Amino acid sequence: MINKKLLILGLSTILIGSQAFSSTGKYTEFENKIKELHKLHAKECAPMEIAFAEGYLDTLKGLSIEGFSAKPQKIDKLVFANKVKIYLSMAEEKVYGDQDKDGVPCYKEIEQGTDPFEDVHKKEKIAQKLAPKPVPKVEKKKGYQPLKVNARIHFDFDKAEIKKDYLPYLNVIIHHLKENKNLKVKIIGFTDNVGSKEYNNKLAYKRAKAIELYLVKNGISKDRIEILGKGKANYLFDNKNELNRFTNRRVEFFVMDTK
Amino acid sequence: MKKFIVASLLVLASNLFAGEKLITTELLDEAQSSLKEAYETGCETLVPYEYYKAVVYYDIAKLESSKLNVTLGKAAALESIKWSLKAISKRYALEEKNDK
Repeated sequence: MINKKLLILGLSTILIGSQAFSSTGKYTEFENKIKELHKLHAKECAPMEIAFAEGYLDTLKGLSIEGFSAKPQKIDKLVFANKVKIYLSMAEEKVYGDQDKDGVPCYKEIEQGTDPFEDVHKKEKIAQKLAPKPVPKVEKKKGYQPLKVNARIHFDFDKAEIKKDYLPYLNVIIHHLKENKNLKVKIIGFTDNVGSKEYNNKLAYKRAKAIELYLVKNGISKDRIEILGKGKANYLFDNKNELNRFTNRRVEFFVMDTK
Repeated sequence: MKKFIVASLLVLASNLFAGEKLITTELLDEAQSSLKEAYETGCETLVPYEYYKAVVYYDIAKLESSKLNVTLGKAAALESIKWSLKAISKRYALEEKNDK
């Protein structure tokens, strides 16, 4: 009789222990997910969802008041755990989602320093406004046409690094190329008139190469891209002042329909 | 004498109960007005993470208090106030930073 009682007591202890372990395990899982989402800029991409998930999780673990930990009742624990799960999946969806439909997920845009919520059409409009003048037809090769969306990226003096300000426009171009799979793109780099011809040719090529690398990194096949460095050629403006030289230091995009 | 003691105890107990209730409702009121202030100063758009933390704790405080889980209700209300204040101070810190 006593043995039976002991057996029941032992079994119930194991059962309660395992339940406690599993709930702790569940919270650890939630905590890890939250950590992972924070690394992917959830605070910026899904502030409401991550805040709600954290709030419910902290309440599940117990909120301290006057040195005492207040916990929800059993039924609320289930409800809150469910809410944590729902809000975490919503946050994940937003972090990996592309709210402005420019083809770049939210967390990546935050890493790049661009606005993940700005409407892509608005971006195009801004780009058109910012473009100094309509793009003159430089490339005469048959088949290639100037890209109609914002198609000019400018560079700092003696630099081939893409400026952060131009990433949104590049993202628009990527989006356009992803939508039109039959298009091939030709990227041509130009420089201002400072320095030797050979050096500027190399620099112009480097600029076109930097753009190519960015497009490839964002899912455009290398087979669809052709690059060229033209250096000191086809100036848009005379090189008399810094603004004009900056305008001349650029890459331009030309597309060809392969259909 | 017995009647007097019982009556006194009843009054004391009802006062205690009323006192606890008052504190909970006071905290809930305070949490609500802090949240309102945070909303009115634009925290929802400028510092959404902190603002929504305050919102979720306020929701939990309301829910738990309505279920008479007063301790958790109070704790959640306090958390809500804490996050509302955090949101407001962060929002003004951002403004100062932008002004500089």
